[in-house]
Amino acid sequence: MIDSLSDGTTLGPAGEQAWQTLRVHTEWTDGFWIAWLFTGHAPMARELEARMEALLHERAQRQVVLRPVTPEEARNLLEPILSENTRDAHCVWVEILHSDGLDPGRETNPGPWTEAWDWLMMRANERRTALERHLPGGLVFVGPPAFKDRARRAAPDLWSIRALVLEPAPPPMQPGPGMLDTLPAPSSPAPSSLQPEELAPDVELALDQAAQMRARGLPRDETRALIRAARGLLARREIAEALRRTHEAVDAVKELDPEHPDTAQVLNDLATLLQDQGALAEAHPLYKRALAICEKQPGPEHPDTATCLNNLASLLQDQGVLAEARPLYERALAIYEKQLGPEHPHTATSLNNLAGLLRDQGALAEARPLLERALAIREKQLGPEHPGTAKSLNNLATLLEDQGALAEARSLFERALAIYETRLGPDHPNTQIVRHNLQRLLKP
Amino acid sequence: MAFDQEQYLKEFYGALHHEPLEPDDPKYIHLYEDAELTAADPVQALATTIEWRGESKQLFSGFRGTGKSTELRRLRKQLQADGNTRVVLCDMADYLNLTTPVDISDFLISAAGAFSDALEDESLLGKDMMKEGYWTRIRNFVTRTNVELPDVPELPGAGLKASLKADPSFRQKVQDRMKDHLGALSNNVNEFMEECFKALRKRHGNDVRVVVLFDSIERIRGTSLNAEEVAASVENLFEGHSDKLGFPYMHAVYTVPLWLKIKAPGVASLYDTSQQIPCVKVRNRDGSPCKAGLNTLADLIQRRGDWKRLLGERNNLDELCLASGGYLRDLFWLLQTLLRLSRDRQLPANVATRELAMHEIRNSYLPVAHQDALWLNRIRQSGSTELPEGRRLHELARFFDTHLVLTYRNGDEWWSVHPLLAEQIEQQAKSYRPDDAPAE
Repeated sequence: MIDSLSDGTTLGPAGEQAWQTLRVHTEWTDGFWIAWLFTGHAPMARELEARMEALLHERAQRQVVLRPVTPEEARNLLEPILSENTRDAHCVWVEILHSDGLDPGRETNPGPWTEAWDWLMMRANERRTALERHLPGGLVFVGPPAFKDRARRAAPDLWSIRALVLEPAPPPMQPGPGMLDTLPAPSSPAPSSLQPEELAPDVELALDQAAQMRARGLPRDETRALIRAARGLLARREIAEALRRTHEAVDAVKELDPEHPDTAQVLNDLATLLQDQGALAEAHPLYKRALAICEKQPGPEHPDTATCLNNLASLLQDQGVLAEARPLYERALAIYEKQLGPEHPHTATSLNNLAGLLRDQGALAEARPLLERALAIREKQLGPEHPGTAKSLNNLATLLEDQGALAEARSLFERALAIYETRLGPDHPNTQIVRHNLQRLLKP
Repeated sequence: MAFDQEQYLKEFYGALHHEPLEPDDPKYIHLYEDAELTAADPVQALATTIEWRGESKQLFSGFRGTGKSTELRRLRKQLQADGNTRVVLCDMADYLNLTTPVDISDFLISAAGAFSDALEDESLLGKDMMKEGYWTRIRNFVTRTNVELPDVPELPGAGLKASLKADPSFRQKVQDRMKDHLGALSNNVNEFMEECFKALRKRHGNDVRVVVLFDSIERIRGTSLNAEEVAASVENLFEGHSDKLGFPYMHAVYTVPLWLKIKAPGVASLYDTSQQIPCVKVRNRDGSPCKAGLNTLADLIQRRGDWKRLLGERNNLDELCLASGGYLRDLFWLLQTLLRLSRDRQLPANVATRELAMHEIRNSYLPVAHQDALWLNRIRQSGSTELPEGRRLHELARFFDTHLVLTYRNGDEWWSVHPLLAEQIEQQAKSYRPDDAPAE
């Protein structure tokens, strides 16, 4: 929803994992293969493409990159894909990250880019044998997440021989602008400010503790230590090692007693860690386990259960399973409203989350009143000059911009920017992002 | 990681690359060898018909990724073993436009043209023996019958072939103008086929048996705009014109879409037989694991890599086989994912890694639309396709195409939702609320 600000963006943990998958597959495979990469994050796609280029270069192989600039060009890509130029290309990278607006997956009236994507998929599907004969290596189609289902439908034969489907979550964004506030795990204190600078845990200490706990047969504590170690490693950008420790934690967590009151929290923490690293599929069963435990104890109406629902919903949203996420967010909101009250900060966050989902689904009109309510709560609870309020202003402004209410959007962006500049300073990432949003809006 | 492990993982990974196998490939395994599975062997049934009859026409269908191409190679090998049989493979994808409606006239022209082109192979007739290819013959036919074909005054053969495939308006005109001459066209094609057969006899001896495999027809599939129209055209071709699809003295096998016999239940009876490749039966219809199918898969995997090192116990392999639903491509994909994930982990892979691999495959099937989930859930419960009305056939075809629904056979046939999706489908169907339904 927000343009990334930096060039040379790092991939983030999920992107790194996608890269590992792509790299190992490329190194281990001879002959034709096909992969899809779905991401809405253009810098990530560029970075992966650049790494692919470098990998092939190392192996004295070459890559051909096709990045159409018009739908017409995209429609007719099969010709360059099957040209002489690609005959010795070990990877043909076809990137179509344009979309036709908010809901490119919508069935009715697809826009020109969506149509071009469908057409290209269909044509490629038809020429499957020719592709197999012609290309000596990989064919990677890159599109926004909403194109996944369209690819499956339009190119079922190609889809059935897919070697990889990569759907990395975007790198952790500078906080602030995103619609989604992730709620804390059960029993964890709610974050008091927008982005508390987290102290990175001491990795060596945590690992040492984990080993001790393992020796003593204490999987819960071992898991906690491993989670801390992984967090510390992530902060040090030692991504692969972080992932390894996370997997150790996933193993340890199997042994936890489901009856223990802390188990849900450990599971949630671990799942969040996985989600942060983009291991969405792996996080899924852990969130579900945590939810199942909370439903029993402390019970289906408890705020902790709402938090579990919220966590699972945010994961499903990341995975693009929007329809499934919605009832969970709605239930979470209902619990918070009932148990904590309609004006509680958690209720505001929950409103925000549901609104973010509705926005993803293209239901802008439904999202708007929720964001307005969230803003009102924050204004009242945190004060009109609080960074939390600024965040809500930014969210609502972005939605208004989508709806074409540019004048209203502008005044809210300006208010948010003023708050951030005063409270966080001109160079804070949040400030920069809102400034960028405002500039984009003002562009003729 | 130890070099040895890396090497092992890499080799196993590469051995799971999907490609059609020749029956004498060491990786090849006869999927229906076990007595319990023989009844489901579609190739045997096709071969028997061909061996026992003088001429025949049969239908053959199967999911992508269930080994159809490999099985067709087995058919070819089995038939050619007698030294007299010549199997001619015509890939109709090279001749037909696969996304627009097909008509008997352009299909017949394309089929005869494809056969004619294939015979130019030295092992069949060779270029010299082919006095006159079909493309020339159709030109003469057109002249004789005064059918004015559009924009092809000189009608160069290649031009006709290319225009038929690539230019829908041209094809439409051909269809329109041939309408009144269908009988004559069919005779013309039969005459040509008969001459070819005579030439083949002359070249290969009087006992020669000719089998033509018309492949890729099952890939004809419309777009979201014309799916119904295209499906209807395929149905009409095979149901309404079956009399024109058999050729004198020859055995024709057509690969057709799986949904054809569901949409047109009577169609099978118009052909000598109608066979399909099911998934490997890993469960019996009552849900209990099928030992014979699991053993076959274990053997099949063992020929590609040492699964014991990757998975340890046989139970762990069976778990993956059951999760794949006996759909080979997903089984290979599961194993490849597991191999990749095992790169930085200890072998054998533990339960968490195995689950992760299954999650990854499951994810590629998601999301499932709510309306789809409701229907899939009915299929899951009943084992039949639950097709509510004909006009939704293309949606069912989509389930087949995307392998959400798999098919099994053991005397009778049944359908099942992909096991990796079953729980998801059930839950989604349960949590369905009518408000979620998109406006019709």
